[in-house]
Amino acid sequence: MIDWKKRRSKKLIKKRTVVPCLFLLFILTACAAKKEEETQSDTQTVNPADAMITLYHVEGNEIVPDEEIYQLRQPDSISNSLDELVAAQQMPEEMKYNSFSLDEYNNVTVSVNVTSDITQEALLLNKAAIVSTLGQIEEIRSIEIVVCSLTGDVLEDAYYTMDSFFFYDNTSVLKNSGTVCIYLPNDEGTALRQIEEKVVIDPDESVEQCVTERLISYGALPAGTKILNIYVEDHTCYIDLSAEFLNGNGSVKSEVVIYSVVNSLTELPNIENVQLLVEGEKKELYRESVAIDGLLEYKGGLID
Amino acid sequence: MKQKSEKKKNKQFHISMKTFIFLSFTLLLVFCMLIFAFCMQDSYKRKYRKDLEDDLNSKAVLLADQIALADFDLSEGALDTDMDQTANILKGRILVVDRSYHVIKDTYVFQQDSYLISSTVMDVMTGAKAENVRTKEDCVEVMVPVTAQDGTINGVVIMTSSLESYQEFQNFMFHQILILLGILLVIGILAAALIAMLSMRDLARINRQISHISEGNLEAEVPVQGFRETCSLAKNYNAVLGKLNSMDSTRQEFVSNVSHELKTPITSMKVLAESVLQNEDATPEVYKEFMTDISAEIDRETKIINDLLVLVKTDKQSAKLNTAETDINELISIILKRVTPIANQRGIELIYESYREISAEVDEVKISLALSNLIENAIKYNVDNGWVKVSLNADHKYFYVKVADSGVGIPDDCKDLVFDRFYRVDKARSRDTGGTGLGLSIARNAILLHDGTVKLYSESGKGTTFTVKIPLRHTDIKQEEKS
Repeated sequence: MIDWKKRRSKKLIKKRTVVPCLFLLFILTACAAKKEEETQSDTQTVNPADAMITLYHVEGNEIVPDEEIYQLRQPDSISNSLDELVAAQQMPEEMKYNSFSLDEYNNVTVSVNVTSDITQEALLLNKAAIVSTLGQIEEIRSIEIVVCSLTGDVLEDAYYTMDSFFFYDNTSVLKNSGTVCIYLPNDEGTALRQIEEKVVIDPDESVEQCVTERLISYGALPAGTKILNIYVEDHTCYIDLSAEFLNGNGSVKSEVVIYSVVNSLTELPNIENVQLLVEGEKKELYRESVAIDGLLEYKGGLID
Repeated sequence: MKQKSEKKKNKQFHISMKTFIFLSFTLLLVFCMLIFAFCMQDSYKRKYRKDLEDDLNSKAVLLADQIALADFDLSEGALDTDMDQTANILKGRILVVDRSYHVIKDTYVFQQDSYLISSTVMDVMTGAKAENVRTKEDCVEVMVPVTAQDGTINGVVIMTSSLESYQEFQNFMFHQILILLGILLVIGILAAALIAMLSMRDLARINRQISHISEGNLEAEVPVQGFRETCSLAKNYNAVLGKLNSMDSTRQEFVSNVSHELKTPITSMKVLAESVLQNEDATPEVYKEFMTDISAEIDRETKIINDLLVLVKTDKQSAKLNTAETDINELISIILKRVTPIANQRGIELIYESYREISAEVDEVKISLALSNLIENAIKYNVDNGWVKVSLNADHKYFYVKVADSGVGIPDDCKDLVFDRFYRVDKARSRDTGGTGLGLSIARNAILLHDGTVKLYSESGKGTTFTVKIPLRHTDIKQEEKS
């Protein structure tokens, strides 16, 4: 009797351990899958492996998704996927796909034919529909759209990405937020590395101020440096920093410190060059090594 | 269980009038103030918003003109900086798009060089809408087309301004109004309390005065003063008090009258008895004579007591009437037949005029009694060889009996008093004729029970006429009164 019980309990132990193990495994895989999914939703694209693409078409004065989501049949091949999408997408009378090509850097070139009576609005909306649809394929870097007349003349030729289109009606107009490109010193302090930062700008702040503050928070500038004044006039950004700026930033090269600021600021569309001031005055040299009395421009050479 | 409900009855909650006035007034005040505040706030808010929109609109139109003049060349410096400054002041955003929806200026920087897609912007650009002004939840937005000299639209200016100043204004106004309302409420409450107190002061005073009277001297009167309503209340109360007092004195008078009337025959009886007892030489014939007199007095006493009983019975407000369909003509004939011998004794002529056959719903006994009394009086207080005329008539509602005599009449100052109990114009005469002084009272009571009336016309020395009016149907009149 005792033996029998032991046998039974052994079996039970087996059952009791196996089931929770399986359960745990199941949860782990689910989490992993979810994580993958989460990273996808941030960039609004769909992993071709998932192969679900929302097709857009123009209705009235806006672009709307098709009712049914399209499933790619050959999601592993970008070229074939493009083929499918081009064929599946609804296009109006005024604009039709002509051809497309894909280069080794995954830049797509799409050629479309338009009727002579196409409106600016229809042109814009259909371009947006094309880019919104094709751009869902993550690997694609940019989409070049060549607009031709029915007789074959090239009317326009321009590059677009998903960010090229500003869907005004869906946004909260006064929310000043976007992505900026800033330059920080690399670990050795010998060169600059570029990162993209999401920023939300307060109503009382300016973009340039926000960017500089972000640099300060990353420690790209000498400790204790404060922005005394910053403004843009005629595409030049005048930035006045406190005396701590002259102290130097540890092991970071002086040039790297300067151009971390200059490059980050000139990345903004309204700024072409930067005039640095310390305590309200122009300085000739920064730490005896870099000339900063004139207007400074973007320097690509320092980038890692 | 019964005890509980009784207790509840005693503990019933009665709200004070003062509290009622005070609360109603306060609530009304609060209600009005809230409505007023709300409407004011609303209209001011609207105006402010409208002003904001108009201001923004004119700024945008100005900017659009400047851009048109500069032919979209925004790098001209001044225009660019201007826009940044304006956007900064408005705490908003300025966007400028050209004909191909390319964003050539964004004061927020980020969307510069992108392509703007918006159906509202497209409406403005294509001219479908002249311009677009709207207030969204956090900002005011204006879209204005950039028009060239020849009228073609080459772009759109989108100017948005934050509603921060509007919200500040809202908050400011809200606080101001709150403070104002608070002050007004305090003043209002004080005023309400004052008004309530002043209104109720009169009533409280009257209450005090009445309780003072009820505890002490009932003869006193409540002074008539203050509000009209309290004046009439005091007057009514005094009238009731007066009636009570007169009722009281009437009762006292009645009691003393009754005692007196009842005592008189008994005194006579005593005198007669004593005198015959004291007479030692009295013969049986003398005794017989005295006994006859005593007997007459006893009859008299009995009659008084009977009449009193009848009077008391008919006096009750709720005295029962045994109504039945009665032939009035017959009734009067019977009475006249009965009194004929008495009339003949003095040679008085009885005349009966009946204009029609009348049948009415009356209590035969009581009406007979009443009419008998009147007719008997007509005979009693008449001259020898005089006349008594009884006439009977009716219309569709009432029947009328007129009893006229050629008698001694009733002096003017006694006319109101004849119906009073025990009242006799000439005491001596009634004694002789055997009256109790209750006849007319009884008659009047009976007539009043039928909802009828009795009126008297008389000229001293010439004669008297009593006119009796009685409804044909007892219930009809009651219903009429009710309606």
